[in-house]
Amino acid sequence: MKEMVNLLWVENLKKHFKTSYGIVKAVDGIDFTIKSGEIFGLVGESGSGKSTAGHVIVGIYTPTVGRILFKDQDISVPAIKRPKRLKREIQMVFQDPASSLNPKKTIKDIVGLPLKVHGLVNSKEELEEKAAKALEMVELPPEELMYRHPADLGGGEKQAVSIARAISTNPSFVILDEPTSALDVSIQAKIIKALMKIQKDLNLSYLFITHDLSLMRNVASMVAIMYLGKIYEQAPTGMFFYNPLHPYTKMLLSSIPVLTDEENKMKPKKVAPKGEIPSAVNIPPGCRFHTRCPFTMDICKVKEPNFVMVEPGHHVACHLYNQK
Amino acid sequence: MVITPLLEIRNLHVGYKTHMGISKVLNGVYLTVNEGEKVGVIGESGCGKTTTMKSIHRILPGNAIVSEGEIIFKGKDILKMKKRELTEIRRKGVTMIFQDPTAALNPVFKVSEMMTDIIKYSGIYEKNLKKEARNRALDLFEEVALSDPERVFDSYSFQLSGGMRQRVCIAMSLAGVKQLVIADEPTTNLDVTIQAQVLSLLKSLVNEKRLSLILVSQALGAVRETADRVYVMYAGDIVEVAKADVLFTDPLHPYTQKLLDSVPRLTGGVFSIGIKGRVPNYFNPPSGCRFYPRCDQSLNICKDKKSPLVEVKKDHCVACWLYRGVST
Amino acid sequence: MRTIETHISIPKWIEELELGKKWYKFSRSPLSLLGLVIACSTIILALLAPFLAPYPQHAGFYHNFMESCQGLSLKHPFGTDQFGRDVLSRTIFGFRYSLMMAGVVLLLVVPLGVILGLIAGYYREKIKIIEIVIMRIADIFIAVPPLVLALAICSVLTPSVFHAMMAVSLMWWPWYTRLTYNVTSSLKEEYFVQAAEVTGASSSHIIFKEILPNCLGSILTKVTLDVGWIILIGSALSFVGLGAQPPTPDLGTMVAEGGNFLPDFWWISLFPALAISYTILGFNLLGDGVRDTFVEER
Repeated sequence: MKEMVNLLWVENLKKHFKTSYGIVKAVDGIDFTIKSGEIFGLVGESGSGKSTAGHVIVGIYTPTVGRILFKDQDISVPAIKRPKRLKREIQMVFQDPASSLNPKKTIKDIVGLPLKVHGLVNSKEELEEKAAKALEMVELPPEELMYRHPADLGGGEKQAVSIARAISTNPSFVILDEPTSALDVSIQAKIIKALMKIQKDLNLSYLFITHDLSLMRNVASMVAIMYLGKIYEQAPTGMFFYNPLHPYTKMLLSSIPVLTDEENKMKPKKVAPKGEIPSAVNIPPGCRFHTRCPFTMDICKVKEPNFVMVEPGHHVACHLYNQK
Repeated sequence: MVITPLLEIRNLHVGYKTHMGISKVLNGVYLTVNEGEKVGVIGESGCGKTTTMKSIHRILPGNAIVSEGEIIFKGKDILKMKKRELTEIRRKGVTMIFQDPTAALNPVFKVSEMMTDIIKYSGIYEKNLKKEARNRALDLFEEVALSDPERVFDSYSFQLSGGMRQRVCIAMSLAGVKQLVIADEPTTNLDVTIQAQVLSLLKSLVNEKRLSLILVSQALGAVRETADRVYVMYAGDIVEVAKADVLFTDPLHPYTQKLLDSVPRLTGGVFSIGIKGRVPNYFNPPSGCRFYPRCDQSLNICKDKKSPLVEVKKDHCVACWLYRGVST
Repeated sequence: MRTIETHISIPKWIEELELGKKWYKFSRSPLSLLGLVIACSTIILALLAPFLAPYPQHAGFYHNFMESCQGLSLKHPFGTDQFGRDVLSRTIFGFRYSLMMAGVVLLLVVPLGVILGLIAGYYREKIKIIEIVIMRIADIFIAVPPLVLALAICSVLTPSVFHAMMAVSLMWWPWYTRLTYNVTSSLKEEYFVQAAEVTGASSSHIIFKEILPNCLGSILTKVTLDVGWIILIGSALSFVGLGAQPPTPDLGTMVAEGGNFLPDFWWISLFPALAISYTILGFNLLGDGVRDTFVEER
């Protein structure tokens, strides 16, 4: 077996935004590591801060507090100050295929931009060749699409172009921010298939941000659940789905509408979905989930639970497990 | 026992006029909803689900052309109705819940004003409208399990969360005496925990009030858990109809099979490769079966002729030549 | 060989398709088409004035008091003015001056305003001082009513067409800065801009190659609508004697001159006035059509 090397460390990462109605604590102290060749699934509802976390890592925002190390280099600085080499290595695929491609440019220019910026091509022909290669990797026919505009493409094709752009510079780490949530399931399947193949071929690491737990079950090797800016449970995928511990994880799992009876059996019973995620301006004291939790105890309302290891590799932050 | 359907769509053809010609979206849609029945409609985006639903309310955009077909609601063709009758249907017969609750609520009015208007036009209360409307609205809000009805009643829509907005929309759509609720992707923009709450609420309200429901959704699981009978739509055609439990365990049409395979399962396992190609171009749709260019099992006849929707098992209709060979 | 061919032909085909689509959208409104016809007709009249005007020599210094202030006739369909000059000929030449005014002003104002707007919009959060300086200066100019500012400037300087153009330009650029600033600030949040930033593209690439092409629709709309307004303001300046000076056949000057002879010789000022209205109407209708066609595409 290949040895897994740590590629990305995130340490006590916080990102707060000042707004007119108060400080939004979008990300409020998260820690995790991503090993090279790993697919790390970061799951949460909208408003949990999962996208912000991705945006901070890729450099769109500068962290308020905390450190991000990529290949032992500190990248918790504004994107402008990051070495260019690292920008080539960390790429991102955005959520909305319609907005992630410039409508006025051709597919060739869109895919070729990172190549040009990083000086990886010397001539027009080389650019064309490399862009075509990137498009082929995502199973798009270059000869048909190279000179088209995004408006001529379907949602799935747009997202595939977006992925081609991200992998055109041969990066080692790609952040996927809900890459398929705007797509139909049949197209999602195709995109995921392509992503998995690329990951194997190029030995990439992914930070896969999504709200779809069923998708994570099939894709990720490690899953972390985020709620109101904090990670509440993290485990290797198998363990995570067969032995979910945190009440929030259980609530999420039990909310998923499923297609088969076997899946139905996997859903934790007794945890009926309740309430909505509070605003990140007024974070509840103590455990942030206590307002919706069916097992709330007195301690939950005052003290934040520690993130503890319950079984090898399986971490959870919940007072139910802290007491043991 | 003969069940008279509440709504029956027969051979509906709808197209849109654009600069490139006429885009022929609906290619003969058949859909029946019986009294008290919960019907699900599934299919990919762009397959004509919303167009079908909009034609029931006659709220299609101006460039739409209904070239053929009938939409019979309680024995009358909606497409031939005069403005007055149509208004009557809209007020008292059919109601619609839209995908985006943010867009469905007007941000410049308070919830109270919108609710009062709706209750006014539903024509239940003649006198004391203001007071009655308030009471009725608060009752409705309690029915849709809004935690703080008084506050919601006096709020603007942007002061509410996504789940609350959709609950308000549901309350509005149920304000009058209605018979059929059309929910067009009611939970697509909501988080799963809220989706589960909204769907179970919708289901219990429809059961309680003995309404009929058409649930349109891309979330196949949601349809499975809510609907009695499910229609599968592809490129403007109904390709398969069956009871919900049957359809999801034993799909017959190759499209349905592929579609179900594409959904990631909580149990993990092999990931499907999706469906090759994409939804056809409606300006120049494939002749015959519209799915044949993407179908692995296509026969020669598929190219030339569209299979009619035929009952191959009890209560299980499918429009595919593969099953005609068996039955005839 | 084949590849070269396709590389040339495909983009062309797409461009044609796009234009076809745009034309379809545009031509759906009869008013837009009317606007296009009027706008084109004024431009043609202006360009070909020496050939179309029945008496081109009447445009400049010319007098023939024998024929002064004659009413409408076949010989002079719009009558003649106090110097016996053909009003029709002078009106046709008048389009030249009006359109030239609009053309020069826009040529100066659009690039300047747009670039400032792009910079202010793009650096809105990154380097706040740039935005503050540019936008506050723009606000100062916007705060003064445009005609008043132009009047003030022109009355200080010697009245001439050139000074009128400068004055109008000075008060016009902030509107383009404002427009581009707004469009840029919203485009900046689009993922394609963020993607370019993340990958390390330079600011000038992002501003001019990613953002600017997406602003062009709104800018084009404003340019078309502004032609009418600038003509109006230019004519107003000439009318009060601060713009073009007689005997230049400027429409505003002609209206002013004819004003002295109202109501008896009404044709002297009526036809130039109608010409002004005609031009403004045309470009406004055209502008509405352009907006419907190019803006809110997504």
